[in-house]
Amino acid sequence: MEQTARVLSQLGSKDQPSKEFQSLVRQIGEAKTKHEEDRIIKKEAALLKDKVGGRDVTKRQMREYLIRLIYCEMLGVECSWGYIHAVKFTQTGSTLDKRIGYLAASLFLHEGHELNVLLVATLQKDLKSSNMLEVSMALVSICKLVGADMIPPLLPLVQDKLLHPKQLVRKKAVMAMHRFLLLSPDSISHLEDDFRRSLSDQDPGVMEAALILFHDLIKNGPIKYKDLTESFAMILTQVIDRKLPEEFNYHGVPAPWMQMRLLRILALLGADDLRTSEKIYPVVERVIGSAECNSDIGQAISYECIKTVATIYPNNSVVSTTAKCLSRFVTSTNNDWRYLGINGLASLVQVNPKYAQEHQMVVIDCLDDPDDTLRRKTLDLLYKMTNPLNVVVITEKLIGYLRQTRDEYIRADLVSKVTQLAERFAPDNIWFIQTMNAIFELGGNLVRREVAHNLMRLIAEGTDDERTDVELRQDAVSNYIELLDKPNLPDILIKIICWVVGEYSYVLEDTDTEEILEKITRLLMRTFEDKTTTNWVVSSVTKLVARLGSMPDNVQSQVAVYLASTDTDVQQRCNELLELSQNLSMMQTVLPLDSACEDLEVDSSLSFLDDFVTQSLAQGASRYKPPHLRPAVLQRNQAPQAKEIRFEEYPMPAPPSFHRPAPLPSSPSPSPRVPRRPSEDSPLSSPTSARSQIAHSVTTAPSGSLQYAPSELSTSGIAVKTQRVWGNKGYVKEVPSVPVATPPIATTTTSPQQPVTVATREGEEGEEEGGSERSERSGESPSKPITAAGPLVSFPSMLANCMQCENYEVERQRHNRQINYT
Amino acid sequence: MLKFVLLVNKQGQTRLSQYYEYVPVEERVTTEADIVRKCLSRNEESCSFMEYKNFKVVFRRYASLYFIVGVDNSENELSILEFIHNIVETFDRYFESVCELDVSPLHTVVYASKISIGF
Repeated sequence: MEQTARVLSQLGSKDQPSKEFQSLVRQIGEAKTKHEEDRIIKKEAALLKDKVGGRDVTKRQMREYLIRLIYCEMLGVECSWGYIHAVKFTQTGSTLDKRIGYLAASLFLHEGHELNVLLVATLQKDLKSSNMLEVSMALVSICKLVGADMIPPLLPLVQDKLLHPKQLVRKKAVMAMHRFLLLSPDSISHLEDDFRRSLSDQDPGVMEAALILFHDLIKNGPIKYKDLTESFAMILTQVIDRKLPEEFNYHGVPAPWMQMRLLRILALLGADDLRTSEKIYPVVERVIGSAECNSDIGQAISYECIKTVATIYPNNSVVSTTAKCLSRFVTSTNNDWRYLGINGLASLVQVNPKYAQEHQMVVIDCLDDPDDTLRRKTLDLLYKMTNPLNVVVITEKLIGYLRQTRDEYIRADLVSKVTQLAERFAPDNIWFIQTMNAIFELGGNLVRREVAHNLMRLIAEGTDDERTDVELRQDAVSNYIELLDKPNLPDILIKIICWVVGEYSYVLEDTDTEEILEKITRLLMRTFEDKTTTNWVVSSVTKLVARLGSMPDNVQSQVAVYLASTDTDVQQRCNELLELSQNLSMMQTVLPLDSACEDLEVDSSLSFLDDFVTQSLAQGASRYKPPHLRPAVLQRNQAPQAKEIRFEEYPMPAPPSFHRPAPLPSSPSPSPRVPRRPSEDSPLSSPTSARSQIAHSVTTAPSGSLQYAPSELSTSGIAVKTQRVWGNKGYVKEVPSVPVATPPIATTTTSPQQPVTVATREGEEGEEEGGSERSERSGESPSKPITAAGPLVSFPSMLANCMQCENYEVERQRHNRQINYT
Repeated sequence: MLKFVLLVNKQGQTRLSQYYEYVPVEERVTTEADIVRKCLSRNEESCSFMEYKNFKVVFRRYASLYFIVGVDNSENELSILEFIHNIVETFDRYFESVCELDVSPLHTVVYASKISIGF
């Protein structure tokens, strides 16, 4: 506690931490269990919440509350109600308060937080201040808190600070720029000259900050900075020659982190570029030479050199020097060093595989090391070392590791590695299939789908040699049949098995197709994670039934269960299977053996239906009109509708001759299964499309939906626009010449009405069908005028009109009057 | 790039934590507990680094306190190890011998000094 007081006084505060704070810390320190700690902290948080919101909290108290708030958050209790106080504190006067405020804000808030906006103005003010401390605090907070959208107001101010007389401020300004770069590289792309100036700054601290900045700039695009290679090399040489001030030495090594940073930069610049690499070789050799081999930090620098050499354009002498360096790592007893050695080997091996040979004993030892991290790294090394000779052994090791690890990330990583190795280096197809099977079994959900498809395509297409194809398929099928007996296979594997077995089970002469069919059918009873798997199973069953030539009963019953499935795909397949199985010889033609790779010929003109069509036309069906030729569209395109309000009074309706039907309960609910028409197509101007609509609606909806008794319509309040010519007893011969007055619907005018009405009468006279059902009229003569209005009213059009109808009551009454006449 | 710095004691109590990427508060607690458990299960012989989820964790034990640093995959682990040591030495020199319990009340100061070091 005395220390705390002393240190705090150094910071400029004259307070002692209060008794409460001291007791809190003591309690936390002595808490024996997490539970107790949680309890104490929650109590503290609740206490703070009360106090902080209080009226007369002095600055001093507030400072302490903020510190305690930080403490609570650190221990896991979220205190978001306190954030605003931190922000307010940054805006207050004294430097110490600002410091605590900024500290709290940078710990509580994060990049996208909504309170950040409040800070922007404060930051700007502080950046302009003449007090160096305030400027520094602002810069540091920018590093932590700023988001991409906050950059524009702050950028010019920070840019000024790059030239501040105080080196500490310059350094922080460079760090702030670095942060801007990470958020949005374009925002600072115009400042390159400034950065280069910082790089050659007098103060090594500023220079180091600039190095960090350049590192990320170069990561994004090395080409622009290749001219700086010599500068970097020169800086590195100076560092090794101990030209930097003493303070930068760490355990005798001059500025080790700067060295490492420079090495990384040089690696990026020299990658794949001989000329640039040539400038780098001498420096790197010097660094390797001067690195102390006995200390951790010296080894760290050496490791960085190894990585650099492995990345830049290879040069034999440099590489061999590096390899010597590497052997010190690999042969040491320190596990950390061995770990780095393995890593280094992994990168060097890509330059020249022979280095792996030298150390292979060590590598094999590491593979069985009790240390898990080391084992994993060795597996990585093996992966990089794979070539066609050792792929079998290495994949075995990798799969072995996959079997016993539980960590999801590691498993995903291993699965992708093994897949890549198998695809690149597989010695033969059979091995490939077996390996892939093992992978699917162990990590099915982690494998990409394309891999499964590749596998299936491999089996289907095969090679040019017929015999190997057959062998391959035999092997695959027998493997998969065995696998079927295992429980809990992942979905992707089931899909593959079903497909392969379904397509190619005929290859195995000595197996019983019925038995296979039995096994596959049993799969139907499982529920899968991926719903589409059932489809694959059903397809497989279909193919097997075709091959078998008969449909066993249990299969039939299993499949029948799925007929009621909610998944339409499964339903369709089951239906197809059952239908086809009625006619097994046809089934066998439809599903011939070994035709997975043959193209399907699609007759898109549906020429096989030609007979049917000519027959129907002869019987009077109307020819299909493509949408752009339909009258509704034609009319709409020809006559742009003027939307006018009608000012004249509507004429009185003439007394019609319909009789009134029995009243029905008013249940205006329309059948939900009739498709709704878009309201643009008003029924009056598109009669034929109304009819085709009706045709559609009849075929898609079960027949019950369109059978409204006319009275239903009357009481439902739906406005009926066209003439009512169908009564209870059927077609009514005499049609009253009631001008069908349209309500003021925006989309129709009165003009189309006349021809429609006329045509209605014409159309009606041609009709002889009875019944009040609206059924499909296939018997219409094709010579009907295009604008013939059907007396039918399609329900969707009524609904559409209903929606547009403004004068509902008027319409209803008019409709009732019409019904009276029926 | 550093992701976070934690100071955790052997019982798993967090003494200090500083995150350089935003992680929600609940997630922090669970992650910290998980990592500490893994660190505690290591013995003397094994590496001071491990892979955790998709990043690496470097840790070092000083008496009863574990200094844990999370870094991304491109970082040189040994350099981070030395970096931890550098921090410890700095604290030592600034506070003139620190022990674990001192860190807790001093944590504010620690934060402030960390910022001034520049990490």
